[in-house]
Amino acid sequence: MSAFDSKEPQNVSDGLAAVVALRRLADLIESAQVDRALREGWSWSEIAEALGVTRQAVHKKHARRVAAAGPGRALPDAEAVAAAAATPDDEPEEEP
Amino acid sequence: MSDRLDLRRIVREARVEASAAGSARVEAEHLLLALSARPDTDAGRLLVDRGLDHGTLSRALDLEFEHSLASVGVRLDDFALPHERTALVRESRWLGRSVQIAMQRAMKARAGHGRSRRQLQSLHLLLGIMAPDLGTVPRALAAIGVDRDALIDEARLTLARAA
Repeated sequence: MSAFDSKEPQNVSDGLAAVVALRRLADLIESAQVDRALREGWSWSEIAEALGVTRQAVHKKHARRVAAAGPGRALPDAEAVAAAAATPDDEPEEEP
Repeated sequence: MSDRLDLRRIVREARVEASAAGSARVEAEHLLLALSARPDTDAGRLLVDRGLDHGTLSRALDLEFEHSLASVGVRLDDFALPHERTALVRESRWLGRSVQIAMQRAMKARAGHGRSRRQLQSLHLLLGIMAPDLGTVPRALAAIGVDRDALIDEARLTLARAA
């Protein structure tokens, strides 16, 4: 475990596998944070700007899931946001 | 003969596995999970007989994920992620490169088993998934001490016996 101290993987295959795992972790965090942003009233445009991607990209990636989580299905933007916002928080927010 | 693989179905099941894992893309490990949940196929039976049931493979993949993050000093526990990752991905639509590689290797495995049996079988797909030496699947199997070569040999033997 001494290699952890320097944050340098023990070998190249661990290092490359870490990249794969971090991408996956980033995806998981992105979904969780997009959900949270919508619940807190952020618009798709604002979320896209914060993520540094186009509005279309963030919408394409998350809109279906968000719509499915709420009462409506395949809703246009504003309604999807409203539906998501109306969904009660099922997990406590972890504030720093 | 009954082991003719319904590729469409297994990919559909792999999509469900990917969603459950919170992965936007379907990867080879999701195909493996899908096979392990199908003891009605030769590949599923072989996996389960070797102790590689769905739960064991899921844990192996989780272990690999945590281990790989730990190698750069990242702890999964430090992130507030929902326990139910299914909520994070509605539908995993994209097929990852590892699926493409597994399919190519599966076709190669089929080609190597005589002319008489042209149908793709579940064991061909298992061989395709097991073939790469690098990537998430071999790492996850190594994480729980699985002898991947022995598994490959057994799959080949089973195919040869049936031929």
